[in-house]
Amino acid sequence: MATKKKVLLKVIILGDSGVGKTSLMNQYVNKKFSNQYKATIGADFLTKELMVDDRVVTMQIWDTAGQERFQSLGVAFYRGADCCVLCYDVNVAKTFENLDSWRDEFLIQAGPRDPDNFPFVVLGNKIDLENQRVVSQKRAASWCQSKGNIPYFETSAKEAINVEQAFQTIARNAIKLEDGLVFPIPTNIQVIPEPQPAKSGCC
Amino acid sequence: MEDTKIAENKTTTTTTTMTNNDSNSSSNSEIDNSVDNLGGGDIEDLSNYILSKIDESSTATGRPARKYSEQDTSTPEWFDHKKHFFILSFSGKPIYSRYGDEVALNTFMASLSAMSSFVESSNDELRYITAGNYQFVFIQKNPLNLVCIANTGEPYQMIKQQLEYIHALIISVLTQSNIKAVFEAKYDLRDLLGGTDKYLDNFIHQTNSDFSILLNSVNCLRLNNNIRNSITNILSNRKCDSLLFSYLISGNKLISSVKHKKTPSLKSQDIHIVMNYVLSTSSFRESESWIPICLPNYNNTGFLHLYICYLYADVCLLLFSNQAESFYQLSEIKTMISKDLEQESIVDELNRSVALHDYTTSFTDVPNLLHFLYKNRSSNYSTYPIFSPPYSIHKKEKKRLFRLYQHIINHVNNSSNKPHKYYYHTSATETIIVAISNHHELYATFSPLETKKNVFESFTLLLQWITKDNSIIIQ
Repeated sequence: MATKKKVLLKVIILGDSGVGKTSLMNQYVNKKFSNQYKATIGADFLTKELMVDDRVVTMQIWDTAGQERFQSLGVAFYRGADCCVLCYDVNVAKTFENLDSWRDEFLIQAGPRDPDNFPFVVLGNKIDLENQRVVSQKRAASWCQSKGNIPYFETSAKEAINVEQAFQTIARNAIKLEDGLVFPIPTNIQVIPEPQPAKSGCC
Repeated sequence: MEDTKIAENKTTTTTTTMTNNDSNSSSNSEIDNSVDNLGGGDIEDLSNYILSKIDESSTATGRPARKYSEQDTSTPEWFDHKKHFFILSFSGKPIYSRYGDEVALNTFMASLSAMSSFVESSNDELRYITAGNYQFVFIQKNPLNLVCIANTGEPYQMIKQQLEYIHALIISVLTQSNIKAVFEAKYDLRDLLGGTDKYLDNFIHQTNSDFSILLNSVNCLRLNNNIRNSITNILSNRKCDSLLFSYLISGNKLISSVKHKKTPSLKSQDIHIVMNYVLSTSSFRESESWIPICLPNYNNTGFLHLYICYLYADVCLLLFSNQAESFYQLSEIKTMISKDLEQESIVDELNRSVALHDYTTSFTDVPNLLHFLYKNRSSNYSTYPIFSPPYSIHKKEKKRLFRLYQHIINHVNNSSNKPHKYYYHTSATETIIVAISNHHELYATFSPLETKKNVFESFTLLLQWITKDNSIIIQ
């Protein structure tokens, strides 16, 4: 059932507040960066069209609120995601340590059919602030490896480092998941007439 | 369940500019969304599309451009439409938009799904949101969300009913079981609904202007009762093992129908779905056709098989079977029915009636009557005259009367108080009187200048005429 229709992928971005989820998305979609911090309330939705090999892919990006008090959107958030992007700030250890719980939260809420092979991507952001770094590349890479070889990118939303590459990988991995499915459609279901409910004897 | 009404949606900020909906685009009343989508050109497009579907290689490029397909939230014209319809999955992925390309609207749809999900997370169901003149009406039909955004001032229940009809149309293409399986497999539903846009567009237009859908009923073709009985006899005599129902229709009017088996009757919603397919597909006119179709109110888990053949220019025979192999059998039955109709010299009379079935209020001889709607509650058949002056002059007036009936029908049927038996509405433009019993509903429209006494007298005459005249409705 090869189809040439535009592929639409739902990508959700998770991570602690302030790690730069919105900035990464803005850099990727709008090529813009702002130093001002504005908490995301609920969610932001952005879209971007890109080519993966010879296919046109539309990404529907769900940028979530990192702050707990704004996380109120419920299950639709995670439902039917094709890829989950986990973000942390290489300069704040806690944001890295929390990746575990973000990943668990996603797997519980989304309940993907094959959790071990669900496509995650990890982004270590704010590498432009090099002298403040506390999470080494080695440490992050080994965590990713232990979780089933999650692709890992070190990014800077501010300097636009690795952002494009990261999202390209995100799209590619999400498509892989779709390609593996063949959906059988039964077209001939025999319908057996239902018995008529007993009628009351009145006219 | 209690109404969940959120006046202001504080929980979702979205980069899609939903607030633009509140802009003054609504004042642009010249734009009438109900512009007939059934124009000849569109039907031609449809048949082109079906041809292109057969040619697998052209699935991406062979699709004719849809009206308004270039619009999205970045084009101001998109906000001018009075009534939007969206279908999206529970995960927020776009499936259909009445105006604009659904993929280009994917962030807007995600916002809609976030709204209903937010309410769902507190174990409730979002039914509607009011924002300025706009009403956002939601229905959740796992795994689909259907949303209508309208500034038409229609009652919530009426828009909800339209969304239910549209959902039923989707089910009729795929069955509910398949839709669920598709989502569990994370498959994109749009691939399986290819070409359904046209049917959805037409059906939405229909739900917005058709009195028989408004009354949840099936409209009858006006026909001499003896002729109708003869036709019904012919239909019931010609049957085979797999044949469940035989229907003879003209446009979206019913001529006669027969149920051959001990099985539930078809509901009017299902009949409207079938009529929409027949009317939206011009190729059905050219040959015998055989399609699988799910009738959601009959059985939403499987397909029936429908034999479609036009016997005459505007008379179409529909034979519903439960066996995929019975095409040739049904084709024989069609030949026999056709012969029977000729032998009993019904054909001429039938075709004459098809040509002249429309009637105006003057046909009733009831003084001062401007318009009426009649529904038989036990059979769910309905009849109504075509518009005459003052309504036939302007499209706007027709629409206004339609919207007024919507409010009155909603009021008398969905009121939280006891159901009404009688209802009298009067305004600067018309007086409408309603009588509801277990057996019928009658809505009659008069001039607002008519005295109450005259209105009551005419109303009684009308009721008598309807019960006496046995041609306007199937007895």
